[in-house]
Order: sequence, then C-alpha cells, then structure tokens
Amino acid sequence: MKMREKFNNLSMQKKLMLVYFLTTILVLTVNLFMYININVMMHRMDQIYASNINLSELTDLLDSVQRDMSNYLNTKTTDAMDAYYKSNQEYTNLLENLSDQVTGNETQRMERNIRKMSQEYLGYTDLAIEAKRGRNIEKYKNYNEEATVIYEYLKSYIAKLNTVQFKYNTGNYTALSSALRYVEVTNILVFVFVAIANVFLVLMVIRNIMNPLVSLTEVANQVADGHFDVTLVEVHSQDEIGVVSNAFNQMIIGIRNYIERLRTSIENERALKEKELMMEAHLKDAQLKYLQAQISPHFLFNTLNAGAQLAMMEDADKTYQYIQNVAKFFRYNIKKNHDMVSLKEELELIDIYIYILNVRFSGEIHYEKEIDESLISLSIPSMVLQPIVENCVNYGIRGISWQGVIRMELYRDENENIARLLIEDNGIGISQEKIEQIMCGQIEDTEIDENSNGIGLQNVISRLRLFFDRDDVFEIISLGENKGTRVTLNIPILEE
Amino acid sequence: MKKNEKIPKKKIYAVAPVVLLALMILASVIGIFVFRAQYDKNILQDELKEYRRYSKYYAMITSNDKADFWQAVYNGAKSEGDATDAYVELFAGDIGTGFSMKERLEIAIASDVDGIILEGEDTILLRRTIQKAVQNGIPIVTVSQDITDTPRISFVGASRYDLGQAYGKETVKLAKQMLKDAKAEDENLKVMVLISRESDSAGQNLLLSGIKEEIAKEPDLANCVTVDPYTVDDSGAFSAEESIRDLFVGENTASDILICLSEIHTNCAYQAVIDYNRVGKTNIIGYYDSQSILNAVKKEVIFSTISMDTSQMGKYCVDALDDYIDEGYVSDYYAVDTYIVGQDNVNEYWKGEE
Repeated sequence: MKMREKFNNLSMQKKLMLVYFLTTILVLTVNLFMYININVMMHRMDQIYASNINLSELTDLLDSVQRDMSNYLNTKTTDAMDAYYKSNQEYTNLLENLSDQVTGNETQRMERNIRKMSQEYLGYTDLAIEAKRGRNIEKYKNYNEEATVIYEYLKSYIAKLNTVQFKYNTGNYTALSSALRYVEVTNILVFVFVAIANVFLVLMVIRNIMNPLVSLTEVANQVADGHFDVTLVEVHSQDEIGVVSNAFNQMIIGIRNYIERLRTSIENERALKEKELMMEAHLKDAQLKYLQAQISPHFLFNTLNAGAQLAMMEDADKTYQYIQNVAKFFRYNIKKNHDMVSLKEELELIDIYIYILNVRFSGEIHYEKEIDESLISLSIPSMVLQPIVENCVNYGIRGISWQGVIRMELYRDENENIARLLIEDNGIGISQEKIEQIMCGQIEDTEIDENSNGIGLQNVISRLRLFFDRDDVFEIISLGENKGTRVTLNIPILEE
Repeated sequence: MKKNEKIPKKKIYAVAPVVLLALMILASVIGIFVFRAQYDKNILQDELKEYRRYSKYYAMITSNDKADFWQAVYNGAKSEGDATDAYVELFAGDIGTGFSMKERLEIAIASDVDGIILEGEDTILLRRTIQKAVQNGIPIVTVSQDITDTPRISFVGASRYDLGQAYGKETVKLAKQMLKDAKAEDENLKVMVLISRESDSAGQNLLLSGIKEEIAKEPDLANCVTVDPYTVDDSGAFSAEESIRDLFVGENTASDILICLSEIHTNCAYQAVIDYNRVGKTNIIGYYDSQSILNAVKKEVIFSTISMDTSQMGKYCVDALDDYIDEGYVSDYYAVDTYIVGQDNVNEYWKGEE
C-alpha cells in the first residue's frame, strides 16, 4: 500500500514515464536473455563440427609424417629429417588431445586406439629413420614396411572415427537446430504474452490516472446543471488531477456556503417585510372594524355640533359639554387612525371616554390618574388604551355593587428603562384561565359588544407586540376576586 | 457476478498491475527454464554423461560379425566383461573396406589391447600374427574353432570329436528314418559334411571321424551310408553361398544328407534345398539355433540343428583372458554345452516369427 501511495503521489508525467520505463525494461530484459541464449546456441553450432576439423588436421599431419619419412629414406637430406622431426612433434602434440581411456563411449575408445596405434607407428618410423642413418638397409626397409602397414590402418581408423563423429555431430546439429526452432516459438510466445500483458498494464495505469478525471468531469457536469448538493470528488492522488480535484471541491464548498448565507439574509428580509405587512393588516383591520361601527362620522359630527350649538343657545352647559366631548371622541377616532400616536393623545381620549361613560352611567365610574408628565410624549400604536379601558368597564366594574374605580398610572422604571402604564379597576377581577386565554390569543374578537367601539383586546395585544417587537409589552393580572384587574403596558423608552 | 460485486473495484486496480507484472516475470522465467531444459536434454546429455571406465580392453575378432551366432557370443562376452571391468569390442569389423581377420588382428595388436578373442581360422598368415601378438604380450583365446599348435592361451568351444559324435548320432537317426521311407533301390545314402576351407584341419579330421564312428556302430547303416567332406570355399566374400549351390548343380553330386558346421552354411544350404526343389530329398543337419534356422526346422526342411550355449561361450572367453591376466596361467580348453534342436523340441526354443 505504501508503494501505491508513493505511486499516487507522483506527478502525472512521472507516472507515465515510470510505466513506460518499466514495460520497456521488462521487454528489453526478456529480449536480452533470449538473445544471449540464442547467441550461446549459435556459438555451439559453430563448435559442432570442430572435432571433424581436428581429425582432418590429424590426418594431414599423419600424411606429412609418412611423406617426410619416405622423403628422408629416399634422399637422406638434413632438410627431410628436420621436416620429419617437425611433423613428428606436431603429430605427437595433437595426439595428446585424444582420449586414452577405455570407456563405454565408442568415440573415446577409437581415440584411444588411434593414440596407441600412432605411438606404435611413430616407434616404427623413428626406428626406420635411425636404421637409415646407420645405413642398415634391411632394417630400415622392414621398419618402413611395418610403419606403412600401420599407417594404412591408421588412416582407415581415423576415417572411421571421422565418420562416427560426423554422424554424432550431425545428430547434435539436428537436435540443436530443433531446439533453436523451439526457442524461436517460445520466444514468440513469451513476447506475445509480455506484449499483451504490457498493454493491460499500461491500460490499468492510464485508467488509474484517468478515472479521477472522469469522475471530476461527471461532478463538474452535475454542478453545471445546477446541482450543488453533489458528493465531493474523492481525491486519492497528489498529482495534477488531485490538485485540480481538491480545488474543485473547495470551490463547491465555497459556493454552497455563499448560497447558504444568501438564503439566510433573504429569509431575514422576508420576515421583516412580513412583520410590516402584518402591522398594516392589523391596523387596516382596526380601521375597518371602526368604519363598520360608525355611521357616517361627518354626518354625526355635524349633527353633534348642531346639538352642541343648540345646547349653548339654551344655556345648557352640561349638555353642551357632553356633546362636545362625544364629538371629540369620534373625531379622534377618525383623525388618529394612523399607526402611531403620542401617549398624551391616547390619555386625552381616555379622559373623554370616561366622561362619556360617566354621563351615560350617571357618574358610576371613578377615574384616577397619576401620570409622569415626562413620559407622555412616548409613541404607541393608536387606539390602544380605549379598548383596554372599555374592557375594564364592560367586564370589570359593570354591575358591581360598590363604587367602580379605574386607575391609570404612568411611571418610569429606571431599572429596565421602560415606561410602565398601569390600568387598574376594582371590579370583579378575572380568572387566571381567562388571562391565559387572552395572552395566548384564544379569545375571538368577533363577539363585539354593543357598547364597544369595535376594536378587540386581541387586536390591541397583537399591534403592541408587533410595534415594540417584544412579547412582554402587555401584561394582565388579577388582583383577586372582586378586587379588580390590572393591565400593564411596558413601553420601551427609546433614546433619541 | 456476486464475487465481482464483493471485491471493490479500487482493489482490483491496485492488485491487477502487480499480478500482471508477476505473470510477465513468471512467463519469462518459465520460458527461460523450458528453454534451458530443452537445451540440456538435447545437447548436454551426451557431453555430460559420465561413461563407465574399464580397466581392461578385449578385442573380439570373428569371420562374420553380423551373424546371429557371433552376435550372441559377443553379447555373452560383453555382459561378462561388464561384470569383470573389461570392455569387449567386436574389433574393427566395420573399419575401412573389409579388413581380413589377419589385418584386424594386426590393428588390435597395434592398438595395444589387453586381450584378444579370436575365431580360429587355419591360415599361415593368421598363425604368424598370433605369434606376433604373443610376442607383444597380448593373450589370445580362440573360440568356436581352434588353431592348434599356436601359442594361444586357451580354446573355448565344443571339442571337435564330441561335436562329430553328436552329428553322427543325428545322422544315424535321420538315415534310419530315410531308409524306412525310401524304396529298396535307393538304399545308398550319401552324406556330405560341409567343411570350411580355412578351418583347422586337425579339428576337421576329429569331427569327421566322430561322425563316422557313430555310423559304424550301426551295422544296418555301415554299408549303405557314405560320409564325405565337402570343402566350402569361404575365403572370399560371398563365396560360401556359391560353393554350396555348386553341390546341387549336376546330378551326381546331389547328396541325401548335408551336415553343416556353421550358421552361414546352414542358411545357405537350406535356401539352396528350397531353390533346387530338393525338399524331402536332401535333408540337412544344421548348426546353431537362430530364428530362421528354427523356422526351417519347424517346416521340416532342416532335420535337426546342433547348437551351443553362445552366452556361455562368450563368458568363458572373457573368463579365460581374465584368469590369464590375473593368474598367469589358464585352462587350455573350456567346454561349452551343446544341445540338439529337432522336430520334437523345436517349440522350446522357438520365440515366434520375427
């Protein structure tokens, strides 16, 4: 595996070169070995008939010995004698190469016999030469005869050995040439095999190199089609393709992150917009409800103004006052239907509203207020306080046997930097269950009381929460059964 | 398919090149080894072979190396030689253009062999060469036929007289049978003994007298059977055959019984009897039990044949030489077992058509 890792970490150029060298060296090695083998065989082929050549040489020398001896016997010249001794010596030297063993091998036995016969022959020739020098005519003639007889035998014998060796060598030659043919076939087979195997090897390595490229291309195509959720390209090697693959993977990861960030910011923007839209929708809803409730307000103003002028002319101050306040109340409703008003305006409206109620219910409601004047310029959504007070009257103090009190307190909570507006009654109180229902928005606003101006508590709570972007802006607590209810508005003091 | 699925592809890619490389190297190595094996088998076998070395070297010289008889004797000598560390060679029979026995003997002497096994041939030249061999310290054993009055150390074969008696007994048997079948006017039987011109004359005489003695023992036959030697001229090549055929040319020479003393003569006579349409008229008592001769016995062209234990003959030759070299002396005569193959026992020796 380490080898493989090493290979994988090589550059592509080195990989290709390595494969090329490896296969080439292999083929060359096989080739070289076969070549050496064939060469050895060729060399042996050259050697095959060497023994025949040696024998021919032997025959030639034997002829020279015989000729030189005859020459000397004929002429008795020193030259002839020198020539005789020379060829005698050469012949003797050559004899040394012949076997002198009796073995099961015919050639070796024949060599031995030739050697022995030659020694006998040379003995006779030497004797003949000696006798000639000693002028012993009869003896040298005899020795010459003996030598000649053996010479004839020797020639026949050598010829026979030559034939035997030729036969043997020819057998060798045939075997060698058939072996050579065999080697040829083997060589071709081995080469073919090695060539095929090489092709496979190269194919393997090229695949090893190309596969990452192919998978990279596939992934790139998928990315091009817009699928960024692709599995990343696996990188096994550190070559050029590995580097490209890594960079590609980094790119995909980068794109994914970018898309993710984009998506979150879009989401945030959308949420913001949604909030704005909801605020608008709620206001529209309040206005709609209000419009539904009113009967041609201008007509009502004019009517009420007419009533007020009439009351003034009749010096009915109280009536005039009442009608003026009712007109103010409705005007406020019509005028201040914007989304945001000051706390002061809302408090003024409550004053008017309480006045109207007290006229209606002959001073039943006792209204107290304790206001921190520095806070009355704070902004709150319009039409918020009146529905709350309306609820206090309708569900808190209506029908109680004791004096109904509504108390309003505005103060600054220094710790949390908020303005707290408390709206308390001393009515029948509210059950905890009801409080939870109200806070969770489970009470429908549809059952609108005939005495209501049409805006429900739910609407108020939603608008407050949206406006201040906090859930604890509206709190409601019961002060105990028949002890009343307290609603607290926590209004953040925004620093200018 | 399942297997393929089991092995991860990547592993295949990792392993395959290694396997391929290994295969390539393996193929090369196997190729090389096969080549080497082939090379060694064909070429080196002969060269590497250690031939057995022998301490003694005996030459065997016979008149006809190719004859089954001599081949059998040679094989006997050869196997005995192998046992006693002596190489026996049928000497120089195939050298040059037909060297005579005397010339081959001279070559053997010049080659300085340790001993010579020689088929006796009674010529003056051969006697002289034997003399020369002994002078050079080479012992000679004669085999099958002796050459008397030479310094040969020993003779291996059947005694000529004993052989004569054996032939004589067979002749009597055959003659009685022929007389029984024949009519009254043909009561004279002519027996011819084929004698080689170059064989030892003393031996021939012994053999003839052996035959004659056996016939003389039978009073019925003594008067009507005549035994004559017929000298076959086998000095030259192929002359024996011509010489035997001459017997059948001309009426007067046609004999009733032919006694052959060599394998060649037996074969020639048997063929001539067939060729001259004398089957049943001329009967043959042969020599040696080659398959062709046994075949003729089966066909009743040859009445019976006298043979010797050829391997024993070869063995005794080597033993004689070994004894002489080791001990310095040796028995003068080694008797070889003889046996007769006739109609009654031919199947024992018959090895089937070859």
